[in-house]
Amino acid sequence: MKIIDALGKPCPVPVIESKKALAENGADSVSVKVDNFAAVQNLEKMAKGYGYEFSYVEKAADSYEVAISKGGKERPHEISSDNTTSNVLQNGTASSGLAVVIGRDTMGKGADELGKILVKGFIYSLTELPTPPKHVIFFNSGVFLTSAESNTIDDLKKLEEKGVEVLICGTCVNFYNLQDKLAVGAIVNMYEIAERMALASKTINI
Amino acid sequence: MKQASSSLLDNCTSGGCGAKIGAGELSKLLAGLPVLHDENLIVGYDSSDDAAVYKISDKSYIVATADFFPPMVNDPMSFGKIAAANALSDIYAMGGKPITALNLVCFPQSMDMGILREILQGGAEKVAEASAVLAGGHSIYDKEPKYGLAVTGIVENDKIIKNDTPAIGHKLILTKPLGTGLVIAALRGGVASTEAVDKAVATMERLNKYAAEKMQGFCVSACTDITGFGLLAHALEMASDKVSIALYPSEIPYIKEAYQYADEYLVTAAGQRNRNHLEGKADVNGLPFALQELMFDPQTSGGLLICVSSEQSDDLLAAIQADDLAARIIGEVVKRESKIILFQ
Repeated sequence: MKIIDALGKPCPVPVIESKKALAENGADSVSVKVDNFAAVQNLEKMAKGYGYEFSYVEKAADSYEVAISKGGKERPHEISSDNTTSNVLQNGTASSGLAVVIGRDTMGKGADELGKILVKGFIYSLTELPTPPKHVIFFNSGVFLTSAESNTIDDLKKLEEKGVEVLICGTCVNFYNLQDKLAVGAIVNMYEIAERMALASKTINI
Repeated sequence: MKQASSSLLDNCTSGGCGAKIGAGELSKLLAGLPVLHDENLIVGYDSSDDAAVYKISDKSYIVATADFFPPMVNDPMSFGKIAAANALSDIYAMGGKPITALNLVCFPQSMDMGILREILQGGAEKVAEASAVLAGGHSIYDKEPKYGLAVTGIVENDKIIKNDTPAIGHKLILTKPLGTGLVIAALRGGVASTEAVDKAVATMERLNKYAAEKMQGFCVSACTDITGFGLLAHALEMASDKVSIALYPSEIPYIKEAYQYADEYLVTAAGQRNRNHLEGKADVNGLPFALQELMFDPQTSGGLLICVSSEQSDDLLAAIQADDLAARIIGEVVKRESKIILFQ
């Protein structure tokens, strides 16, 4: 049984460390030392939520020992690949290349006219990079750049041909009524956007 | 993924309103203190309201409050803004207008003073946005950094809004999404997404000024701001011993990622203390676990919980939503039942 010393560590660190230990191959139980009763109760919620056996001993007013045993139940299923935090939790530093995140249809602060020229130039430059980004993500007024009327469409299509994933925030498309005008990319929800950003080794925000 | 410098957070063990002494603990502490009576003290700590109100003339009242805490984010400027927005909030919750603010500063001697300058800069920006004036302050060396403000505001006689006077039939508007405590906890645990942190920081930095200004002219029977005790404990204070509060679980606004963190049991000790405090007063068992946690989640610089007449509630909501998109009507005031907080 793995022993975790979480004395002096604030919630949710004891829960995070316990889950990590229980997710390891072959792990069946953990013993966790914590220094406050709320932490005991938070570990209890986690253990019971997953159907694990839970018990604790109060050693002193500021010292508790919690025992959690999977009893043959599955590993904590939160460490899945369908959301942001878990990937980070599981892999430490997950990495999948560069994500470029574009939240406006202009670039930099100043005249809009100039900003539009700059963002077009920027997207063109992405097509010229020796290693193109893994994802280009558009949200808020950035989604206008993906509409058929945008002068960046050809460059975005070129990026797609190079294997770049062009992702567009669905909420934003609906907000600006661009549903029928998109000429490139795939519509995704905020979870998918958050996931791509969290998994990226580098993020460029425009 | 963008990685912020962790120097501020590394220097403290608990941050934001989660560092607050628990509501139950606090009541016990205060119960032992002598209460000095002064007929001009209209709202004192015996009523556990957001700020003290003192009458200085038949028309004018002073509203006084102080709030400070350790950092909950790594960026010093953001921390300053959040601490100031949080301190100013109590004045808004009473229907008042802030006029002066004093900096309250604890800072380690060994830490870079440039960090403190940024914290103060962030605070000063928010005080300016509130149209109040920074009038001084007090700073000491301490092992862990802490920052906040003592704020003085004014309110006219008929505009004082208490937190425990909700009228039966009135609707409840919550002006900011819940979940900042869960996001901060996930950040501390090293598992928060940049996106979630950005959302939480934006809502924490947001002044309650705009929503409070919209309240003027509406029939508002009670108002409080949601802070470290979480939505349910603040709703409990609002109900006091007179009414019950029925919440609409499906309407409660929250930061999406916070729901996910709660589902993964990445919850806070303060949230658990809030849960313990509500034991027997709110039956949350029928609700999804993550939503329960969100309603117990300690908020830093949370939104206003405004109790407004049901005829005017849609109009006030629309006015607030013009600036604060997340605002929702989340419940209503009903006559007292055996449970103080109900769910519809």
